[in-house]
Parts: sequence; C-alpha cells; structure tokens
Amino acid sequence: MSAPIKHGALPALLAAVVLLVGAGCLGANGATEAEGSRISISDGYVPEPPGDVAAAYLQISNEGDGGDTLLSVRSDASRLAELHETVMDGASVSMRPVDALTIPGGQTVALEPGGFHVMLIDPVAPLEEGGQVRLVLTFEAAGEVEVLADVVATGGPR
Amino acid sequence: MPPDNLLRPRVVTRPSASALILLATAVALVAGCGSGTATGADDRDGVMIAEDEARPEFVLTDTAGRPFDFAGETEGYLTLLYFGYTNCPDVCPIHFANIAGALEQVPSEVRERVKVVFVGVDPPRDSPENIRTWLDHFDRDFIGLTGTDDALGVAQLAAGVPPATREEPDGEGRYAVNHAGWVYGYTPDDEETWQFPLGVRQEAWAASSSAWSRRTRHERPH
Repeated sequence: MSAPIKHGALPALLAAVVLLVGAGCLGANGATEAEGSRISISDGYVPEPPGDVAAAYLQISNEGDGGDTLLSVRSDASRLAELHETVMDGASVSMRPVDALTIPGGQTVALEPGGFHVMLIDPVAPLEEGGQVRLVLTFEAAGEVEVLADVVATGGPR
Repeated sequence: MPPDNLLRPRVVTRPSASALILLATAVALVAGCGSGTATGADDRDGVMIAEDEARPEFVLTDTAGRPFDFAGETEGYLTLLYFGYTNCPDVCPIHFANIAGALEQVPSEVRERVKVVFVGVDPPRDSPENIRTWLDHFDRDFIGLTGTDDALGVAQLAAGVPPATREEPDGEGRYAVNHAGWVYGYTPDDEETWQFPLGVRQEAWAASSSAWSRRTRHERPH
C-alpha cells in the first residue's frame, strides 16, 4: 500500500481489514489458518437443531509435517461446546466425549455425521438456517483457530 | 465418483442421497413389493432386511398423553419406527431429516399410507411436550411416544432393538444415551422388516432402490 493514509482514515482502514479477514472465514469453502501453524479448518456447518442441542461439523486439515492435537472447542453461540464422537456398534449407537483429537501431519480429519462432531449445548439464541456460528478450536501446537460455521437446514446440506 | 472411492472405509452419505433412497424405498414398500433380498446392498453398508422381526406389539403414551397401541394403530401402514432421544445431536436428527425430506417428495397417496413413529427412550428429558416440539421440527404428523423405563424396555424388547441405557451423568447432570441406531421399516403387508442404518453408501442406496423399484413394477403380487 503506497498511498499515504490520513490519520483519521486509519480506524476505518483497520475496520475494513478486519472485515475482509472476517469475510475470508465465511461460506462453505472458506478456510481459516492460524498464523505460524499448519492447521486449517473448512466446510463448517451446523444443521438447524430440532431441540436444545446441535452438532457442528467441519474439516480440520494439517498441512504440516508434525501432528497436532485438538484440545478443546468453545463457541459464543451456546452455553457449552464439547467434542464428541458418535460410535456405532451394530444396531447400537452411543456418544462419547473426546478429550483430545489427534490431527496427524499431512492429513485431514473430518468431523462429520455419524462420527466426530462439536456438540453445542443450550444455544444462547435459536440457531436458524441462514445464521452463523463462531467456533474457536484450541490446538496444542497451533493454538486457537477460529471458524465460522453456516447454520443450514435440519439434517445437513441438501 | 471414481472407483477407488468405493473402497474408502469411511464414507459420508449426504442427507440428500439418503432422502432419495428413503423416498424410493417408501414408494417401493407402499406399492407392496414382494419378498426377496435387497439386490445390490450388503449388510455392511446397505439397507437390510431383518430376519424374524415382525411388527412389534407394545403400548406407550403419545404426545397428547393418550395410550398408543403400536401394532393396532399402525396396522396396514408402511411404518418407520425409531428409538431415539431428543437430546441426541447427531444421528437422530439426521435420520428424521432424511425421512421428512423423503416424505415431502412422495405423492400424497403414498404419504398417507406411511406412519412415522419416534420413541423417546430418555423419559427424564423426553417429555411428551419435548418430543412434540422435536418432531414438529420435521413433520407435525410424525407420531411421538414415550413411557416409563419399564414400558420402554418392553417396547424395545418387542421390537428386537438394543435396549437404551443412560450414561453416568456429568457434574452438571447431563448424560448421553446409548440407543438403537437404525430405523426399522415394516411393510404394510407385514411381510418384511427393513433396517436403515446411518452412513449407507450412496452407490448401494442407488443400486438397491433401483432394484426395488423395478421389482415393484414387474413382480408386484396379485
């Protein structure tokens, strides 16, 4: 940027930059990458929930050589956010809390229906199709990585 | 989809694909397709025909607080039965969104011969009101049932499904529920029971439904 910036224009410019950076997280194909890490998160979505709990699904890619570990998830959209795994064993299905999720180097781990998901407990406001949910994922090495997940129709993308 | 994708161990089935299959299956079942095995599907990733599982007999309480005799009330209908719970974030809403999506697309003469029954197996949280609210998110005509743990145990035993158990509550008193993960479908003529697992491969769905549709047209009884 070579043009001189007037003093008063700086806050506006910063706001614009923040907006642009934020816009980079939007949409199904958006990706967020933490500075100094090789973790990126994409394809986040939350099916509109029929009750007091919702599930967030997303893809976590680790383009680095070393592994990283997802330690926790939080969201300002719900009172609690927890990492869970749905386990299907024959005709039975159960859900277990996941304390830590390893993301091996060079691999993508999917949080997807019937597998890992972020369980959003007690949304602070109704999660309705067309809205967005901000999730902050904390990794051992990469630190905090944020993603905006689209609230989509119940059941997931059609 | 390239052939190597067929061999991937974990396959995400888009709800839209499942909905289409359920739709095709619902049409095939209501149309009264004959007995036989599900061509193109296998027991790993396809819709399965259950052996020795007839339409179960049990009585639970519906969301209006009235006794509901399952076998009596659903006799003669293609009936989809699922044992779930309203605090279920993942599998239950996916199944029900698929069913609702499929039924929105079938002709009304098919739709009116289908009954969808959700049994809430978590009585402390699955109050009739909560179940009604949960189901209304999908379809106001879906039937919701619940009861005491004893009554629910009888119903699950009758249906031949794994009985639901509640995990130990955490510090907040929240808990997960282990339950049956499949939707069971009973044909109107009670000749077959079908099991719909989650995560059926799209290719298997398509092959199965296609085969069933053809069989329905050409091998329809009578």
